[in-house]
Amino acid sequence: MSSTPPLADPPGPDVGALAPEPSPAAWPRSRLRAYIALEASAVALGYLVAVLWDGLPTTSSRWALVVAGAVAVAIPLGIKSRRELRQEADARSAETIAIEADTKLRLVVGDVVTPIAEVVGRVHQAGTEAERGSLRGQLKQLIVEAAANLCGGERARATFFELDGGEMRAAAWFGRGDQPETVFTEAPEDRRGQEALLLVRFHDFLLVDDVRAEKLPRGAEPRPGATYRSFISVAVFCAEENLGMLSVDAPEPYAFDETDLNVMRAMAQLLGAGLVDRH
Amino acid sequence: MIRGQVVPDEARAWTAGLVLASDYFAWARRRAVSKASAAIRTRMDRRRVRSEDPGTSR
Repeated sequence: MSSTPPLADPPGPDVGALAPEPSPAAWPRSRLRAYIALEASAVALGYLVAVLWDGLPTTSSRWALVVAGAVAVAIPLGIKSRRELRQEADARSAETIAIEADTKLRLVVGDVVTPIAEVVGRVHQAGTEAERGSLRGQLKQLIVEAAANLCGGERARATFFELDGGEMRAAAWFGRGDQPETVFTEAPEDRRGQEALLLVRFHDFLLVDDVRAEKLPRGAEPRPGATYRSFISVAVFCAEENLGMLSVDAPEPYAFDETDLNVMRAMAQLLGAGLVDRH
Repeated sequence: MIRGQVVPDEARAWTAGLVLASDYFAWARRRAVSKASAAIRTRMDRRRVRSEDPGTSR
C-alpha cells in the first residue's frame, strides 16, 4: 500500500526530473554544440598549419588566396553545423509535443476520469436520498473543477447549468470570475435560452473559437458585456433524460481545441451517469 | 512490475473535498509531466536502439 502523504511530490526518479538543474534531456544539445565547436577548431587549426607550413604569405595575392581558402572551408562547415542544429531543434520540439500529449492523457484518464468514476458509482450505492444528494453536489463540483483545469488556459471557467422545470441555471462553477447569473428559459424573448435548451434537447455540443469573429447561429451569441471569447457547451443527459448543460469558456479566442471538446464530452457523460435517477 | 492503487490517496483527497482543486491539479500536472517526460524519453531511447541494431532495422 502507498504511504505517500496527500499531494507530496512523488519520490524516486520523478523528483530528479522536477529538480531545477538541467535535465538529462538538455545534455545532447550542449554535447552537439561542443562537438560542432571542436570540429570547427580542428578544421581551423589544420588550415592554419597548412598555410603556415611554408611561412607567412608575403604578397597581397597570396593573402587573398589564403582568405579565399578559409572562406571555402568555412562555408560547408557552417552549413553542416546549421543543419545539424536545426535537426536537433526539430527533434526537441517533437519531443516536447509528445510529452505534452502524454501529460494530458495521464491527467485526463488517470487523475480525473478514474476518481470521478468512483464517485459516480458511490452516488448509485448511496443508502439515503440525503447521502445521494450530497454526493451529487460533490460530483457536479468535481466535474466543473476538472473541466476548468483540463480545458483551455489558466483563465478558463467551467459551469454546470442544471435543467429544472424547463429552465437552466448554474448549479456548480469553477474558475475565473463570480457566480454565473445567466438563467436559460424558454420565454419568447429569451433567444439564447431557447438555443441552449435546444442544444440539450438534441444532445448536441457546440465549440466556438471566437464569438466576435465567427458567424454564430441566432441565440448562440454572448450576452452584452460577456467576458469570454471562446467556449464549449455540451448537453448533459443519460439515455432520454435531459439533465442540463456543461460549459467552459475563456477570455481568449481559440482557447479550446478538439481534445478539449472530447474531454468535455467525457465529463458531461460522467456527470449524466451520476445524476440520472434509477427507473 | 508495477503495483499501486487504482484510485490513489491524493485523488481520493480531492474527490472527498479534503484538498483544493487548484492544489490537486498542480500536483497532478507536475507528476504527469514528470512521468510523461520519462516515458517519452524511454520510448525514444528504445526506438534509437532498435534503429541502430542491424538485426531489427529495416
